[in-house]
Amino acid sequence: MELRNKTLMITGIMSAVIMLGVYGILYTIMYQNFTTLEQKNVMGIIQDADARLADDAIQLGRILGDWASWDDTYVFIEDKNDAYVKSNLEDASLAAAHINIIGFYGTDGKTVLVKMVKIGDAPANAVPAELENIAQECLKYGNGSAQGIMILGGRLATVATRPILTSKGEGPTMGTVLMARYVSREEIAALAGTRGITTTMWQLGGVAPIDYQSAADSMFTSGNSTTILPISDTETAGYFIAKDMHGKPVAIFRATIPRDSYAEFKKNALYMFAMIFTAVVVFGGLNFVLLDRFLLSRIRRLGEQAEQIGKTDGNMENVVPDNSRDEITQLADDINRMLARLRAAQHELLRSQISYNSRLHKEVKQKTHQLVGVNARLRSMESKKNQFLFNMGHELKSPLTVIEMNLAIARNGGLTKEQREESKRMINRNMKRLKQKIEEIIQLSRFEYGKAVQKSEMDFVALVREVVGDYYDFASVKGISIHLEGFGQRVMVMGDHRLLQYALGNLFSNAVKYCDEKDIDVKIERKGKEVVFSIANQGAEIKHENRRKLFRKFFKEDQNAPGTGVGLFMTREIVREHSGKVWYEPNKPRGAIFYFSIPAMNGGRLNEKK
Amino acid sequence: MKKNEAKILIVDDEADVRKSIALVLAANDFSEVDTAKGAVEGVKKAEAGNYDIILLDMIMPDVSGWGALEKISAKKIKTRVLVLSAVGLPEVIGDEVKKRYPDVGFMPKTKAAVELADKVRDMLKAPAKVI
Repeated sequence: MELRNKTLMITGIMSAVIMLGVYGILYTIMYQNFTTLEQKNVMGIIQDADARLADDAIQLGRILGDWASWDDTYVFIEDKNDAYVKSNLEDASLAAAHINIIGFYGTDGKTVLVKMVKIGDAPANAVPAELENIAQECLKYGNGSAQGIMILGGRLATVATRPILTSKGEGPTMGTVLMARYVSREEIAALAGTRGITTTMWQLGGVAPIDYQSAADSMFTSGNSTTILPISDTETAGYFIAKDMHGKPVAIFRATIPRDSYAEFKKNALYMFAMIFTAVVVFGGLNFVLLDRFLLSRIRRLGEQAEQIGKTDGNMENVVPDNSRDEITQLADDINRMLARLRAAQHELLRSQISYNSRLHKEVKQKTHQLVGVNARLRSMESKKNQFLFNMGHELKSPLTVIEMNLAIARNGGLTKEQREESKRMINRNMKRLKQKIEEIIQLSRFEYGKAVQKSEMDFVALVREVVGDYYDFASVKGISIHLEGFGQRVMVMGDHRLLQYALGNLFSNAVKYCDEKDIDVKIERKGKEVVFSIANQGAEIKHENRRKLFRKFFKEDQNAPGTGVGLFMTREIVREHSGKVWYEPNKPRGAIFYFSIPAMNGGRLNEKK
Repeated sequence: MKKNEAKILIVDDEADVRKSIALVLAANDFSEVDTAKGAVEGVKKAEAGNYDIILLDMIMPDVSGWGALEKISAKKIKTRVLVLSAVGLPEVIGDEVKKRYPDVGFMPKTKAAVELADKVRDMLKAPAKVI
């Protein structure tokens, strides 16, 4: 539910509650005031009615007073003269005074005379039985003076009694005189006196109309002598209990009163409701409009801006704070601060991403380059290996072919003796070459797989002499003579005989192969803890740019030239295996000198011999 | 025994091979045998020497057998050429030679001991020409 709708709902509910609450409270107060007023009014009316009834009795008593304190009456009780009756108890004058009954009683309470007057529908034939009893009680409990209402023969009447005294009001009392006046229905109706109000009566004892009964119940239960029971919206009724002279309840009076003010009250309540309703609606509406204008719309706007920011393609522009310095402005400021940090973080992220990417790119490039290099090296190695195998095939085939051809010559014969000798030497030479080549393969594979070196103590000079022997013939074919220097000594070394023999053989083989002139100089020198071997020829020089590559595996100055390109590599590996080093120097005026040095044993003595 | 008068040039960088071929040829009565240590020397001799047949090695330093063939062809030397090769895959070289120079003969060195003389004799039957 939207904030706006929620606010509208809350405002509505609050307005309704306030409206109903205020209305309820005001209505209750008004209603109570009204009711109190009405009750007071009704009470006044019924009390008036009650008082009027009492007044009637008092008025009757006053009339009776003239009769009671009168010498004539005093005398009449004593002598009972007819004259008194004739002159004073005339029907017409009594009727004019609206007196239904007048009775005279002696001091013993016995009836002296009762005179009944016929007025309207009032009965005048039978003397109500109650009268004598009243007179007796009057004499018994008081001085004989009393007034009130009584039910006489089933009809309501006002009754007054007075003691019979002289005109001077002196006694002794001759008895009591009683007057009764029946209260007619019209009189009862007029009891309340006011226009529009009618009074009715119900004598206790009979079957009561329902409202009298409930009023009676109410009054007898509460002990009050009055009660008010609204009949309808337009009428209410006030009740009171009328008691007779004995204090005994005899009738209930009801005053039916029109509720003019109740209608007024209801109208006022309606006005009030309308006013409250209007006020609440106006205030509620105004409240909502102001809330919406000053708070909700701002929150909504902020929300919309935040939503824009929240979208994936939304930009991260600042929200627009308004000028009211309150929490919402603060929130906008907070959002802006957050956005600023977010932008900074995004920027930072982007930057680090870029830097990471570029680093990655660089690294990948570098690695790729390395891989390309490695691959190229591997390819080159592979091709060199293939070249090596191809060359080795040639290298092996060459001496083999020579041997084969010479063996064929030997089989076929037909040559001079000299030629046959030559042929034999060729076979021997090439057998040695073959052996050297095969040795090369074996040593190479030994170096490739495991480097099984078996060193033992031996005389280095003797070893070199052995190798010279192997190559002497080869050299002499080319007309080369080998000069030895430093061979008259023993230099003991720890070495692998076979490997060193191969290494030396390789150097000899190269020296002879590339020698153009007739001399090769081989020298053995003891230098400190090392023995240095050198072999120098005169012939082709190593090109300057190739000098560093000489000892690399498969290196050949001329790819088409015979040879496998592993000889010098193997030589270097072998010398290194003996903790020595091998190097090249150009010879003068031309040619090459190859050196190698390995540690000599301490026990070796310089033993120069001719 | 009738001496064979054909003039033969052996071009090979290895002395023992040259010598051996010469001996094989000598045993087959070829007495006029000359040798060259490399392609350059070989071509020079071929130009001047008017050889009936040149026995050419393929793998040589500086200039290879291919270089020598090129030169011989370019210089329009009228002769016969037999390539003798000891390379690992003789048939590959042989096919290549046949493709480039149809008139040039080919023989693996390994067969030279036995078949060389016959092959030379065979080739000598054909007329010398520019290859």
